[in-house]
Amino acid sequence: MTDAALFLFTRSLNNWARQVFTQLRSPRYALAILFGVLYLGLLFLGQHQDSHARLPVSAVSFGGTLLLLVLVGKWWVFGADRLALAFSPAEIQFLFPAPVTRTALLLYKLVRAQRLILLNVLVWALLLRRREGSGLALGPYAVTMWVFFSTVMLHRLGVALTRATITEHGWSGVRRAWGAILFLVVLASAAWISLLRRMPPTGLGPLAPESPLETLRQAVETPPLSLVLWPFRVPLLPLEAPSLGLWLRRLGPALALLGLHLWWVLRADRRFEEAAIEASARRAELLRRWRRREQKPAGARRALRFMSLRPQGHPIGAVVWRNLTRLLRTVSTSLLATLLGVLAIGIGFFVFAAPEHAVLTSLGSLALSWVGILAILGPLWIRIDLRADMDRLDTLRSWPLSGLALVSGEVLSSAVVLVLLEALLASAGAIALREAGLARMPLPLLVAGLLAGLLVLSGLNLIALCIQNGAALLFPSWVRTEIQPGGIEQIGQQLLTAGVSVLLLLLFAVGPGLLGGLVAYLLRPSIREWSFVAGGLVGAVGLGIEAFLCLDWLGSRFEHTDPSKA
Amino acid sequence: MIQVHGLTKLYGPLVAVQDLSFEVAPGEILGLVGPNGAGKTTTLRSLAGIILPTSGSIRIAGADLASEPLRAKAELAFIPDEPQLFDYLTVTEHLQFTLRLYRRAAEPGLIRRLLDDLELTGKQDALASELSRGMKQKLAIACGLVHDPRVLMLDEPLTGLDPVGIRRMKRTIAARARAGVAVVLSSHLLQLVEELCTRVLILQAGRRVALGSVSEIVGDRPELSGRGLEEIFLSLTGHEDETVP
Repeated sequence: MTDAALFLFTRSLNNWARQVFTQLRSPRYALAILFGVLYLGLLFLGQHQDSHARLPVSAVSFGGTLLLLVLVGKWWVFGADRLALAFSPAEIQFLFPAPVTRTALLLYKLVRAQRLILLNVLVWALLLRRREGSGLALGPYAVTMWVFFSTVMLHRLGVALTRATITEHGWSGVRRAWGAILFLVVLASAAWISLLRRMPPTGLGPLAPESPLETLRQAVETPPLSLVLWPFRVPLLPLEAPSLGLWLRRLGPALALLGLHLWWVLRADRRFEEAAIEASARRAELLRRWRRREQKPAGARRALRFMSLRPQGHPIGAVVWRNLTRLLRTVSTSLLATLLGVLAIGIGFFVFAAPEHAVLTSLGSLALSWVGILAILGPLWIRIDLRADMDRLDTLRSWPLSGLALVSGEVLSSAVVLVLLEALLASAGAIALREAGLARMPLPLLVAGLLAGLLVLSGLNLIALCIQNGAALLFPSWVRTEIQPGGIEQIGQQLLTAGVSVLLLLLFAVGPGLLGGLVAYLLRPSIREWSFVAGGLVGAVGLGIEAFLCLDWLGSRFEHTDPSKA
Repeated sequence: MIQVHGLTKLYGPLVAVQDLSFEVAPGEILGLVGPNGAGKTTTLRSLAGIILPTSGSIRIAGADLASEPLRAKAELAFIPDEPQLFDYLTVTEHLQFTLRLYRRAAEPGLIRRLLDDLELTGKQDALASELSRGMKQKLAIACGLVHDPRVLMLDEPLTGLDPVGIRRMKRTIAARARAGVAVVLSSHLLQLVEELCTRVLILQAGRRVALGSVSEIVGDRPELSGRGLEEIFLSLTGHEDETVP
């Protein structure tokens, strides 16, 4: 197996390098690589020159310990570790029926995982070491991070193997996690005792003169909590070593823990094949959805009554309906929960920062910030258009629709969602800020400003979406409609694409912007604040005409596109 | 060559295969047929040692798959219906990799001959990610044959092959059987099964419905005499009404 695995690794690496070298002959690829390297170089230099925002290394170590504790607790109690056992589909096909022992399979997996671990070590050592304010030299720092990541990976694999084994024995539910629950009880008790020991002698006063976080940090260093948490602190303790000698002394226990984990994972001939196959299938599905930016369908229950499609009507309506239905049926509840969570954190932050009219102020500010974010990034995020249909171009081409109608329907789908979101957020933001007394402008001015802004935003959104869809149609290899595994060249490609898109958007916006501004300026004396609406309307119409010309041209290009090459 | 006794596979409460017993002798081609969800792929994957049976025993070339997995697996090849290959290995390297996995020294010209047989010559230096679906299937088949297995298991082997590829694949399977290889072939193409297989195992809901040559099956059920495998299959799996044209 060693021989075969070595062959697989070396030949794959060699072929990958050869492919990259061949692609470098293409100017497009070389340019993307150049931009990617420049970007990463600037990031690296920025880290070296930036003397601010450094965290104390003890805080990093403390945070790492807590994070590790949370992760380990999650793996043991909830069993969210199955993916740790995943192999690639090719590995399942070739290695599982082959005469290979289970230990050899696990060793293979451990060696293969080093690729990701080494990449992480590289990123931390080159880009984040300075930010952490670590006093360690590059070498010892990289070794510490390698030991840490490897121990975490081995622990996750060990949990997955143990849970697979006890599942084989028919254990389920709480029975499967009783050990972890017992540990959590011990941990909570130890934390309570250590916190009490950090309290003033009377036990009645405030916790301590320091901040709660500092008290917690000190409690972690006080027995019995320090003893219970010792295994979680060991991998990161070398980070805090001020000298090479102390680093070496602290590295010893960390290496011992790593060795212990290796022994734990490899010690028994445990049956893990089925759990591995299940995890591999799940990972392959997740990977497929992630690459295609798909969400898991939430089911037909998301079909709303008002969204039902009548058989009569313009086909563009059917295209928009199809895309909107797809969006509604794939917006996951977890995504909505995450958004609500982010909103709650944002409001919390504003309440803390400005208690007076805090809720309204925070809501208003957040809503308006999001309008700005959506105006810039919305056309990249909302992709229920041609970009989501690039692998179905042959089907789209078979529909009895002109190119203009089809491309318009596709682009309008994203535009409708984007404009609706922006209109809702902008209205809510403006009303909230006015109620909070921050936007002290007369109501007509507020309404006129809002209307003008939304009109201009609609036109800009439409143009931005035309650019994104056009790029996907005309340069499919440049605009990735699927997320592909890639490296520096992808970073460079994305930078270049984003730069060109912004430039095009500015070019398209100049004419209508000037015209709209002129109209608003000329009408200002006669219709006062409503001149903004008139200017916005002229600007939006100008952008709309440009968008129509773009769509017409893209439609004709669509009719002449060979789906097999797109 | 293959001895299966009391094979049962449960997925939680779901019974995928129940108490299945059969044998395949050297040179024999056993056709595994059944409706969707009958347990064909589970049976094949259990025979290949990819998944472990809940109970029962499987012996491959005299070696027990549970207690001597390496000895058993060294003698078998499993070719799944969906070829899964390593993106960054070339066609030739896939074959070399398989030979190393099975610790077989390739006789001179073996890889070239296989590539010729499967019409992969000219593609030997192409990466797997550059191959068409049919080519990938041919490469997966080549990887299954390169270590000269004594037991061959094929799941829908003709998927994605062109007519010439199908003809050659049929010839290859028959030739391997003539050379003493025990073959288990799972397919929905009953014509293929009828043409190639010496015996047929019909599964339904994880249970054995019939086992034997077509004449043996008909011998047990005289009412089926004169019917082809398709009609026998439909009749035995409770789809009698589908047999009426």
